[in-house]
Amino acid sequence: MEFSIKAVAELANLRLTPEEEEQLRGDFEEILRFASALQEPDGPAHEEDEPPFLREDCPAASLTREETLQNAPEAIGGCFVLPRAIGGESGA
Amino acid sequence: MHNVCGMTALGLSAALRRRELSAREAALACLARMEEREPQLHAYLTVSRDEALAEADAADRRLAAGEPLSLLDGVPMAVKDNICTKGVRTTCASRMLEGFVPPYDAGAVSRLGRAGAVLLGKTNLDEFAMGSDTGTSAFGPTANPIDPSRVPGGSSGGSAAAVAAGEALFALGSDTGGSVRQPAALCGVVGLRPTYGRISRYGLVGFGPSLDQVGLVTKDARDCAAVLAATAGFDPHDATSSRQSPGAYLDGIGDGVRGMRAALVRESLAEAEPCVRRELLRAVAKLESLGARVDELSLPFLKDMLPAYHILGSAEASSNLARFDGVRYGFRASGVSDWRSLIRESRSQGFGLEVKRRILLGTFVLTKEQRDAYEKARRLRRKTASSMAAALSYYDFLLLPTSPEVAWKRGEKRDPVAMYRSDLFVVPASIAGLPAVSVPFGEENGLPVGVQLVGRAFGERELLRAACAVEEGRK
Repeated sequence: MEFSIKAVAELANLRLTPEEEEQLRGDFEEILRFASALQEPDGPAHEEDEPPFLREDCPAASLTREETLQNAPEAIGGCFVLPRAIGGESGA
Repeated sequence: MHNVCGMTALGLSAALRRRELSAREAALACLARMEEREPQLHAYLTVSRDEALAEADAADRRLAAGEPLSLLDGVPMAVKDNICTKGVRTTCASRMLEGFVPPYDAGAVSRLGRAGAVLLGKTNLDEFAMGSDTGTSAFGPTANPIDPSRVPGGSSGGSAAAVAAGEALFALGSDTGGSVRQPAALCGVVGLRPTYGRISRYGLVGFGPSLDQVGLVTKDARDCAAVLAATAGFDPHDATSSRQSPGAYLDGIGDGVRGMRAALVRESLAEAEPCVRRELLRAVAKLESLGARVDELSLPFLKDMLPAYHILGSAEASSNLARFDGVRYGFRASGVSDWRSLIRESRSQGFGLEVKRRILLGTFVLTKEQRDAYEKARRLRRKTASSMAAALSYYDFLLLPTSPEVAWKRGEKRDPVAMYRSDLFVVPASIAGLPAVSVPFGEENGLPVGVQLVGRAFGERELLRAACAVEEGRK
């Protein structure tokens, strides 16, 4: 299995330090060797599973706004706060 | 005078009902044991002393009125720190959730609360339950109470160590690929992974949702049956929880194995250390002497299940842990001015190395180029599940070791593949969604060995009956 650790880290939204990258590169080679030894079983990978039970779509008690925001690193006026995402220098 | 820390949960329950001691005294005895042993063990990440004593006092009032809520009313317990407890910090042993205080209780915790069990605190684990020796915890490792120079196993190492050391009478853990059974074996206690869907996963912080199950760590099989009866059942908050009614798990638990059919998984013998093999064969002889029939059975995919598990588990972990973005909860990196860097830096600084390794492996196997490997792992999972179900249509349970070896020295296993291999025998039941229990049986130089029994889906009652016989057979 070909593998670029930088490209995968980018996809996973992770930045690796040079030390982590070095250590993970060695570990990955070992893990991929281990995974490539898999036997080829016959049969389908997907089968129709029974659909999960879905509860009735009706209103019920839920978390309050305060409870929802209590663990937010930053919240103002009942909203989560994050750096500007639209416009500005670094907007996307 | 009772030695609370040495009692079983049901033994304490009987003493509480006879008013020979109070729930407060029981909680205080466990808290005193913690003071004595925690500096060395570090099984707990959070101890909620005041809340525990208030819960114990409430239990004492019910017991005095002759109105206990259940067999577990007033019994002190511990909960693994990846299971949400309302108002009590839940960290997943990660910097990412260091200050996280859940606004709700997990389904299993709510049920235990309604049963009157007393929460003493939250136990250590490998970060986000990713590991096999509780060594990847961001807050430091846990030691094995039997020999503190050795690991307790993992990832529910804190729960297993706490129960083994008498710092709680039972504990909740979680089992994705053996994380309850393997530490139970290494610490000499009972560890049950119930059938997938038997206990609600609501409030269990997700690692691999198709594999994750809340599991139980107890001192014996009877306690395990009592705690399962209190935690099992349908939960509208978990769409994968089963609507099948829980069984009367304690009924007939001491009836023995006469007439039961068991199959020893042949491939497991070659992969286990000699001392583990010896104890497993001794357990087989004991079961036969108690009237069970034990055959040998081949499970040719045994070795392949481990890589298949890592491919599927990592893929699910990479998707699940995408939610940690430094916005809604969890660690937020400081000094970043744009939102993309905020997410990347929060994740990079908040997660430890093992978690990053699994996220990266999962992200990799989910790329278009790796589709074949992922599909192959899925096919292996189906194959395993169907061949185990076929074997269990004839046999009452399968027998394997729990861990290939006894507890190893701390710091001994550094390479991740060597670490993953310690889960060889526990992964099959996980990927097949079957119930499995580890029971202590024998020892090597004072270190406990665990024997594993894998049962039919939703057959926990028969499984625990067999576990009880194995347990009594070791005496």
